[in-house]
Amino acid sequence: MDKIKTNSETVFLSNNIKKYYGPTKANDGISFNLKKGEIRGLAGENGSGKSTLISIISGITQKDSGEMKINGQLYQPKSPLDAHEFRIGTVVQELGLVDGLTAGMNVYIGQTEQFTKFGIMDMKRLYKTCEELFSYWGFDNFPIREMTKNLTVEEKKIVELIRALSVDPQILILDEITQALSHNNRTKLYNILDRVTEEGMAVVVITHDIEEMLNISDSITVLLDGRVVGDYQASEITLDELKQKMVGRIVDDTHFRPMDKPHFKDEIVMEVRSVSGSKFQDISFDLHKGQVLGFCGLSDAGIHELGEALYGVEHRDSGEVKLTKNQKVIHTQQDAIKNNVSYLPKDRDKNALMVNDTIKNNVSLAVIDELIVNGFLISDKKANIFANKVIEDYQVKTQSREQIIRGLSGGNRQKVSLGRWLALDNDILILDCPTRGVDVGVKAYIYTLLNELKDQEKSIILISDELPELIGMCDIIYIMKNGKIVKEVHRGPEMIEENIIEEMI
Amino acid sequence: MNSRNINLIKKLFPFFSLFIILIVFTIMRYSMFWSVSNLRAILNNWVPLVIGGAGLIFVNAQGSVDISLGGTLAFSATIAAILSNSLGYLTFIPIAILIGLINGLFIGFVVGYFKVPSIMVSLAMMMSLSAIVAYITGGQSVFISPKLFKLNEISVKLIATLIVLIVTAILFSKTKIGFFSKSIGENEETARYSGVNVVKYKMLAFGISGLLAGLAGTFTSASIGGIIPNMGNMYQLQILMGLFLGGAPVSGGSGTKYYQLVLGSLTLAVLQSGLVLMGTSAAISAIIQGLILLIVVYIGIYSNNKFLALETKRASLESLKE
Repeated sequence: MDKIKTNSETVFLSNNIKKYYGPTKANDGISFNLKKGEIRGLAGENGSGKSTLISIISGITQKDSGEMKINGQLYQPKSPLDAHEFRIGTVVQELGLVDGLTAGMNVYIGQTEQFTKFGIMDMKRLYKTCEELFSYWGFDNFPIREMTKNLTVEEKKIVELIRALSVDPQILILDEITQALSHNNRTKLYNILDRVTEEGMAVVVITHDIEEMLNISDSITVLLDGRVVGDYQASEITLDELKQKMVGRIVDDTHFRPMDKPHFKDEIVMEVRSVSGSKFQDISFDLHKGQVLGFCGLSDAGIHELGEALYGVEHRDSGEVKLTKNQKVIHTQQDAIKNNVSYLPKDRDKNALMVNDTIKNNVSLAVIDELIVNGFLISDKKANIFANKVIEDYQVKTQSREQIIRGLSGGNRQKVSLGRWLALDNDILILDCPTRGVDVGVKAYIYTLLNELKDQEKSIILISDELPELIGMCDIIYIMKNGKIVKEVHRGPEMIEENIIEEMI
Repeated sequence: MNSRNINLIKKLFPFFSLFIILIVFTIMRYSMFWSVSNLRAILNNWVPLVIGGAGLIFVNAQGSVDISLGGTLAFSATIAAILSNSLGYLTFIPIAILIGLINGLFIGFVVGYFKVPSIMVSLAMMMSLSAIVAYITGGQSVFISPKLFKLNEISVKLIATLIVLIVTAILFSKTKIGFFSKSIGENEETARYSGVNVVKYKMLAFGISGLLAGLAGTFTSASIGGIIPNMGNMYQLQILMGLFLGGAPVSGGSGTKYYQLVLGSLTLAVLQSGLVLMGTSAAISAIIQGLILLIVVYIGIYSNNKFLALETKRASLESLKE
């Protein structure tokens, strides 16, 4: 489908759109135009700002600054209803249907006036129109009278698609719809897209399947860290080039270890035996002194849940996590902390920090047992010393230890979150995405810290969604898929992104 | 206005409202208001408020609430009265606080372990405890040994209150129980991930709260001379009001400070006795109390939101610089 529509007119225009969530720059000056009859792919890694941009265009969230125009007319949606008015149809990533209504009702939710007379809805006419609509788009005999909660995920997606089409949109936005569709329904979708673009509708497609995006789009816009990397004609860019653009930043690997051999002590510090839980099964491994052990996998692989279970904060069905030096078994997070095991949660603001509390109290919470004097009293003096130590040792940019976390940037929050555990000088660290949501400078800083820890012969379990960082840091990477370890890669020429991705998928 | 000033307003407003109340009563009823008998009345009002609040502050800091305290007070006093009438008057206090403690631990366990919202658990407890009291007493009063009336002497009350205040102030501000309670109120998940045994500390908080309601019950019984039906009625709401009048945040967390309890319960005690002096009817008096509570809580929540919004903005600016 490489129809190149160079001459058609612009339907949507946006200029310098910004949206910040506290320290997170979700959209940082995005300019983005759409032409009539064009299919535009929106590519980018998780957190690149795709979904935020879509929510702004479809009126779900409001931009902080910037300007949008539709057909030359200023467009400032306050709610999805405004988007309706400008005929923008959206299928969002999170299912946006009301479970307690039928499929047919969900299609017309918010636009039932056309079936209403004297406040009473003509259901018969609604279902009849609805049936025709589904047939028109090629979905005959769709269960439109079924309660939405009884539909499959695929059927729900189709309902959302039809709903988006029902407003006769001039712009159709599809956020991760193909994933849920089977092969023949995908073909139907492609046909629909052909039909609507023929009529001049502009379509925006987001999908994790980059190959598919290349196939169906006319052009592709790549986003990274809330900014546009560039617009590319689908016919002029290869899959590899596109992936490169999405990862973007030339990874500054000076902070990574050279690709040498694994090196760590023979001494084992933690033995994990046949650990199973709801999201992972039969995980066994040894953690050695001075070793960085990586875990990677797709979103349903269970790596994050495994990390929580090793620490004891998530339930384990069976298996054993044992510390070699004292033969203690870790059941709960209290056991872990008592035996010098630290854990850094992935979701910093939800699980790691008390966002509305001071740096001092957040540090104290982690190191509380170090602050106790006379058997039970918390020493304010010691708390101050610890807080200052974390601020100084880990370069937290703040005026005072009484500053609340909310007022810190993402990088500084992470320095507090990680630094307070490091201040305890524990031997075993379980780190879940330690560089998530921090900027490049702080990232490099955290890598330097991890290398120092390795030199001090600490043992680190590094769970991460970013392969370059695992490849840059780990002695051994365990690749997980559907809750099981499928492969173990040792540091060396084998440890390259392609090999790992192949096993993950 | 910067975030430090807003924080200051939030902290000072409860002091300011007590000050205004004192001035108003001084102007309108100078001699009566500052008389020994009125000061004694204020003290009598204040003691059960501050003793109950000294326990409830732990629960409140966790972002929970315990509205069963009135029921706990009546129930523990009733059981203690009946048992001490046969076991000897010396057993009255230990039994009352033990029963209160057990009640509290039970609520804390259900709230923590089964994750039932505290308002529901304590509502259920309040209803059943009051019903049990009504059933046991059959709506009749139960008398206690006259030897226990000594508890109603002002010096005894004062010393007991001081001991309770000192112990709970240390527990709340200087030990893990207080610190973890505030952490749970800030973010329960964070507390859990940081190694806090949330169920244990919820039980402890409700336990302390119940224990002190039991203790307050002994003083109340001593002042009445026994147990009467609908004793402890509305008690929990009065304590809550005292806490919030002092500026304690409704959602709990680190903004909860011990001084707020002392200040707020005193404000309420002064307000109530002052309104009596003014000859205000019970209904009008309740309306005035309600209005003042609303204003104080509103100022607290408004300034807190303002403060947080300013901090969020600061973070955005910080990130821009990076």
